[in-house]
Amino acid sequence: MDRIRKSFRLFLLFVVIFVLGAFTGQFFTDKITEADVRGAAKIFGLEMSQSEIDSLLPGLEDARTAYLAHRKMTPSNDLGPALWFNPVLPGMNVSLPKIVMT
Amino acid sequence: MVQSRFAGYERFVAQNRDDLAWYTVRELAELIRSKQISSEELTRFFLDRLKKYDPQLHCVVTLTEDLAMEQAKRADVEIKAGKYRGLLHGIPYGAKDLLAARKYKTTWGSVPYKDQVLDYDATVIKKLEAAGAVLCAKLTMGELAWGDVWFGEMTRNPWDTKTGSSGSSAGSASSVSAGLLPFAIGTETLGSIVSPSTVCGTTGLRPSYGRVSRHGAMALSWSMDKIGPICRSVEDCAIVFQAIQGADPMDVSLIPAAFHYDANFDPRQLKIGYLKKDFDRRYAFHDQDSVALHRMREMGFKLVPIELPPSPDLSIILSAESAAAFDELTLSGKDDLMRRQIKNAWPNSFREARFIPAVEYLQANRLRTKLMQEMQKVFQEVDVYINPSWGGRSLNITNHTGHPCVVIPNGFRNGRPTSLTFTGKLFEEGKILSLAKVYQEATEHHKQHPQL
Repeated sequence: MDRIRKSFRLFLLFVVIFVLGAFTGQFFTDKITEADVRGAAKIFGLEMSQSEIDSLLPGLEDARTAYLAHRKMTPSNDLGPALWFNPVLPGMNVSLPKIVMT
Repeated sequence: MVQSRFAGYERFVAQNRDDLAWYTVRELAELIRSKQISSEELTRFFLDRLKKYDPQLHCVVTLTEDLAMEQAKRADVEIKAGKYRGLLHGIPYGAKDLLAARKYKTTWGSVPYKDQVLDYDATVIKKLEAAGAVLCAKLTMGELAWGDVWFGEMTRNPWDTKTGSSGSSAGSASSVSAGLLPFAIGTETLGSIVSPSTVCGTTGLRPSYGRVSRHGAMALSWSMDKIGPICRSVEDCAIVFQAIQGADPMDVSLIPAAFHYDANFDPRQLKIGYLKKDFDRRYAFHDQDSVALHRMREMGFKLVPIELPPSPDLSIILSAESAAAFDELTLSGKDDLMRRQIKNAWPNSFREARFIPAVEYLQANRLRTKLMQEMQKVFQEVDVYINPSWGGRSLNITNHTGHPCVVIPNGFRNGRPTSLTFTGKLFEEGKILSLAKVYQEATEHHKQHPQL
């Protein structure tokens, strides 16, 4: 009897994992809807018309595909972006390196 | 001054050996150069202090004792053979645990990385080794460079061990303040040298952006991270900065620039501003800062009132960059392992940053350029300005524009140190250091030490 109960519990666990897995996977492949865009636009303080939203839906899905692909590459902390901040403004004079310490 | 202090060194050592804990790098260097003490003896002295007081202060992640003794012995052999490398030769120090050091853990103060070993030396560690300095400890830091909470027990302020040291260069400031090391290396993205130096009463230099190589240092914000010394005096900051700054082919963000520092320069020649409106407010360090400004005027410094330009909220820049640097934690769920899980902590900040559009990040950076232009106008009027360390906008602005500053203790409030900040032009650390040194040497605040 105990063995049957144990098997049933394992079966239930399997079903839960399967359903959750399907749900999670679906979350990333679901069509992006107008409502999703309106929600995002609210977060970002943007206003868009119905036709503007319709036009950008395929592009948003392409971009999401790219994000997911990028994440699989998992760059380590020592890999910097190809954008370098430089505090020196045009016309600013910076003396050439030569240590002077007296 | 140095010579007279050491005139009776042998008697001094016999009677007050513990006072070596409070010597500056300059003073210790004189003892080593003149062979009145060996590097091995000095290193053992500081290792013993680290072991004795760490259970109270929680400022050490890893003692690098084997490496330290090896480097100290090497220094003694070289000095005995007449190969003196300079003021840092044989001097013990500690490094914030975001700098990689071969054979030892580099934990970034964070649970998910607490067993991480990066098997190479950060450029700063290499440069200090080349200068003959002796690495004794890897020091605590707030988890991923925020605050004083890490995977061990909170790092303490030696002046009041019921309270934290602040951070994120927590162990660097705490250990130097308590005389457990003559100097330490810290880093700052948005206050992490200024804040713990203020709390612990140490003297810190936050260099210009692009001055010190970040190769081998944890990246939090590629456009804001800076590495600098935390010491017992302004002059020591100049000595350590000289050794760690400059070229490194491994860090393309470095900007070639000269370091001009003249210990005999009279800073009265400088045009010195002060943030009058900030100093006129009622704030925690108001009284100590007022006395400091009065003292400077008495010393013959002419202080010109100035104001900083309006500054936009640029906080999404650090949020976006740090979230990218640690996206691995957010996506894997390992951020759940981190110690602080409140709203105002990294895990939530990283998730929040996922909602910053790339366009807004770039727009914020364009406004940052405008702020840099406005700050350039400020520095057409003055060479250096003085500002309250906390409270005003200077700390936030200059961490975005890349300008350097020196923070020094200027008194006490409720038994704990207060501080004053000197901010200067890009790559003009020498001038700020000259001014801060002259003021510091006319005071005794940096010569006060906590009782443990």
